[in-house]
Amino acid sequence: MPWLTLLVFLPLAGIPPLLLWRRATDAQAKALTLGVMLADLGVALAVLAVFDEGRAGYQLVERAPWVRQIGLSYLVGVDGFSIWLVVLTAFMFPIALLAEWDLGYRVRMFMVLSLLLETVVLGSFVALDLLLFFLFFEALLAPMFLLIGVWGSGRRVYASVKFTLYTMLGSAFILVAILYLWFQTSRQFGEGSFDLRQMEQLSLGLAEQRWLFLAFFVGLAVKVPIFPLHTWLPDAHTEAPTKGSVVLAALLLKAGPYGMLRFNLDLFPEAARVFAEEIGVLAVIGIVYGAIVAMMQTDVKRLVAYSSVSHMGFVILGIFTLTPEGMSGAVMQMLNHGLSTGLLFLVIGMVYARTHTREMDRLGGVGQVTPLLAGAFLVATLSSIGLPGLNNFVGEFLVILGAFRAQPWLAAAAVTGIVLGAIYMLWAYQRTFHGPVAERFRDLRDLAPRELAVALPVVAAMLAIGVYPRPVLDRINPTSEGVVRWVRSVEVGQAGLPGGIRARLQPEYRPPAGLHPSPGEEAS
Amino acid sequence: MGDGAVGLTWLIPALPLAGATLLLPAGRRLGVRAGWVATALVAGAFVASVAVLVQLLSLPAAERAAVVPVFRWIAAGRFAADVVLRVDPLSMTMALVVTGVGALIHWYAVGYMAHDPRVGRFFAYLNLFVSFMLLLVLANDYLLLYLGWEGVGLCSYLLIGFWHERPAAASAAKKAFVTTRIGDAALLLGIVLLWLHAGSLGFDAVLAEGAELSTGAATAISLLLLAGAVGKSAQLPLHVWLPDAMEGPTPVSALIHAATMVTAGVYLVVRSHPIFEASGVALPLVLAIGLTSALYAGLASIGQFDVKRALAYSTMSQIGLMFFAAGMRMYSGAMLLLVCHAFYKALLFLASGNVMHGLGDETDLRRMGGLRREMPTTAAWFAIGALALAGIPPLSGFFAKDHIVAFASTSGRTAAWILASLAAFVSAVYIARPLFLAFAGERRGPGHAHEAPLAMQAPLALLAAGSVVAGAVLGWRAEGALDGFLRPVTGALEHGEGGLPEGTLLLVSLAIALAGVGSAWWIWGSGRLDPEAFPRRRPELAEWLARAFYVNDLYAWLVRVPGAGLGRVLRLFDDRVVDGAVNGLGRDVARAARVAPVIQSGFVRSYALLFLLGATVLLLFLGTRI
Repeated sequence: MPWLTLLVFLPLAGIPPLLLWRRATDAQAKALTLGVMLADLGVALAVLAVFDEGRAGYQLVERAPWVRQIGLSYLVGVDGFSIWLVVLTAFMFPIALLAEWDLGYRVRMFMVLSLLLETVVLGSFVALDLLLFFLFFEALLAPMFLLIGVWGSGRRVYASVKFTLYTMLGSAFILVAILYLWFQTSRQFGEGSFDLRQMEQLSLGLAEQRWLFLAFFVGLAVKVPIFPLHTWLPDAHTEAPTKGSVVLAALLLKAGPYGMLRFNLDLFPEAARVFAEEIGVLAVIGIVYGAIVAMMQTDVKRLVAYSSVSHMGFVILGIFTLTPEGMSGAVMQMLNHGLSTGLLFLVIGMVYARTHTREMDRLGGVGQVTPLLAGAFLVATLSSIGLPGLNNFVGEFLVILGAFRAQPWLAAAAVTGIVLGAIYMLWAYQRTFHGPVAERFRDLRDLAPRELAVALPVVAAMLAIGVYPRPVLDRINPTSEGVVRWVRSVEVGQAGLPGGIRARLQPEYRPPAGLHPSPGEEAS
Repeated sequence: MGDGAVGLTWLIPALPLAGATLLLPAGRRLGVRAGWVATALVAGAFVASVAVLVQLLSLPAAERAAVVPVFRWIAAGRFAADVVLRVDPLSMTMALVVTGVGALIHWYAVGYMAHDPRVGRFFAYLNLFVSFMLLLVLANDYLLLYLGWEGVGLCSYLLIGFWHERPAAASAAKKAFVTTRIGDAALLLGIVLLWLHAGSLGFDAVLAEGAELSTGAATAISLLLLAGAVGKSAQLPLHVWLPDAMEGPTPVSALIHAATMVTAGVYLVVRSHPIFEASGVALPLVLAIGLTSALYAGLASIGQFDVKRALAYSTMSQIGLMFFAAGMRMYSGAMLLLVCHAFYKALLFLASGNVMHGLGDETDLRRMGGLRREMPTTAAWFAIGALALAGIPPLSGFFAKDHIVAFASTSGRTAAWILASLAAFVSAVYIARPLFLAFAGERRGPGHAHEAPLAMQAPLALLAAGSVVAGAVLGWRAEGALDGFLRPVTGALEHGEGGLPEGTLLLVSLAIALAGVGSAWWIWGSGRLDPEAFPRRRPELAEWLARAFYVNDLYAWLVRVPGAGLGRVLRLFDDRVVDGAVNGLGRDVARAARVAPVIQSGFVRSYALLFLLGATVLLLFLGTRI
């Protein structure tokens, strides 16, 4: 059963009926789209079920030659890094759609774009051919551009142009690096290929690796985003419609760190070791800077957008600790941030729908009339600030643990993000929901059943992951352990052994004999 | 071990947790009945704790420790943490205090909160609070302890801010959470560091190895743990949240001060004592922080006219004495004071709750006075609590405090003994003061007071009984019943050389307590002086005491001026420099090209430029490695 192909392209199956069924009402178009997305969620759960949690390598791999002349192939597969991103994508799309149920104009086009977007997001998380990845990665931009530009608020054109340009400029770096790698494959193997598994076997000099690493890193850093390439994010998040914000925060931001895990570490392990500490510094700058700037925002949506800069810093920090704990924590944080920030944007959308403002000075006291809404926001807030028992804590703790092993002072600096996070999130909650309620908000209604259906699954997922994260971690751990071993073990010129790293990493990972390292032992 | 009652240890935190899960959705429908459900569940947890205790006592002292595995929580790389509960004398002492005093406070709250429209949610939070505190004290490793620790912080946030329509309550809740979180962040780092050095977070492995940690590692870890304890237990310098926490309903204050939350720090230090001992400097620091906090808070308490704020500072002062005891390695003494304090502080808070109930939420001592006539029963409860705290024999506080102060002398710490005696004198003064101001003399405020109903007196009777007898029963001598019970965990008391003879110390203690209460009576109770005479005569000194030496004002200034200043600068930097360049450039390019309506092309060029600038910064930074 070609599970991944079914998963990626099932949403597209909803598009022809939407285009051809001209007499469909808006409600019917929405129901059709929701049905397709729920079916795709079922496929994603099936993928999860057949995924073998104990293995480090790619699974469910499908391959079909596409353009033989240049070695482009349709090559997809999942491993511990991508499996949860795939599930998260299939989970968040129907929820975000349900959140936009009241959409009143250009409904059909919105639905078509949503389905298209789901396909390309899923595609970029499963592509193992670099050119295929690049195609999906770039294809994200068009539907996103339109989502923000057509259905956004305020300065939506400004925001969408800025978002698109930033990402495209970053992609140019990646494209150059991919082409360089292609030339190397054709030189070293006699035949050009974009197959990631083949490229892993290239022998690259250290200088080459460093330049290529930087090209990928800068291109992906825009997506994360890493300071100082982050300024597109507050505008794009703030002006996007709720669905756009959710997809941006929960899913698109993950393309950056995912690409680093997938390409920077696999293809340029020595360079990764060289740059790890500096990138750790950048990550911590992002954590602290994002938190402080978030604190000073007056627009609650913008505040949450800046909090993403801070939270994504934890993800990057975890990846470049180059420890299995930090890397597993980072992958978990990608999933967790998707849930918690996703829910925050969903709830802010509900607040805005009632009050028509996102300015916290004009809100306040809303919690008295809408306790369920306030409760949903509070749960998302608590998750976001890393309260144990909710999802974020698990990843955050593992990242700090890994960072401490790699570089104690980075961990100490990152921990300030935990305190700052509590300050800006609880302050935002207080300014939005606490205090005396204004006369004009006295008649707001609390959550409707549809809105409960939006919030409750996310809350349930947060609690489940926070209390019992094993099913998630068990599927991530073998891959992060394998990749850490790969990055730490490879010496210059040693790459190029037959079978690719994945094959060599298959034997189960066993912790080395000296179980209790002193801090910094493995940092050098 | 692991069968019999011990196998059911998980029920102790699970019962109140079940209450919270049930009452959160169903509380509104149940109304005031929610209070009875919640009380019954905490009482059930108390019964379960007693059952476990009975089984524990049936074993020889050396075998009184068991672990009850629940499930594996987190695992990645070499790290693994399990949800495992621990049954030993220390965890059971704490569990009994939390569930016993907690159940009585629940019971009282049924009457106190009966007319609140959100009573269902109130009891859901209250149950959750008790449940997290039980997880904290029953955890067998530091990560699960941290879960309980943070959960307690969350519940204090929810309950202090329960009346969140009042801006003061909402701000106090946030302040409590954020201030304690500073300590929590340190605690988290300490836990990580501990794992790196000991390779485990389980108490059995870590604390047995505690002595094997290098001195440097033990110092770093214990100082980080201490920072966490200082935040949660409201000791200097992270104490500023506690007085403001009075914005919560009074039963919440009783819970925070007596059974949950602030005792967590003392528990953490006592539990981790092998690590603290392995450091050389950590315990003296614990001692110093405790003593300073005891004196500081004692003086501040004398300056308060809000009865709940006076009680809040008194808690900080009492916890300071517990830290002081732990700093002298007198862990059983700290625990004895913790147990006795739980009784009389809960009693004092609930009695002042009765006063507020009878006086229409009046908390200002200046408008009370003479309440012994209108509320004789409540007056008796408050008097028992106050005299117990002041250390009048044979009430519980006398034993608990006397052992600690005397130990300072017999262990050869004469300077500390003098300061601790001073703190004891101050505590007798600060607690007798609200007693006399509220209940003695004549009424100074308007309105008529009425006594609280029986439902709000019965739990107080039990707390009063505990306040009277707990000290004598558990700690007739420093090496009394509680000390013997805790010895497998805390080790034997190590008396040093010198000091005064025990009889003399006892007499000094007694004299100090009587002198404290007596001088409070002379100033505030005898009617010779106007309660406001002192503030009128020495306004600046009174202001220093009332504002607790301006520490809170200093922090507020630091947050408001340099803190917010940095925030504004960074925000401007982000808007104008990192991002602003784009928009400025876009405008300029457009103007130069005289295509003002079609600025997109200008935007494109300037975005490209800005992106290149950003990318260059990144590359320059990383390029040092090329």
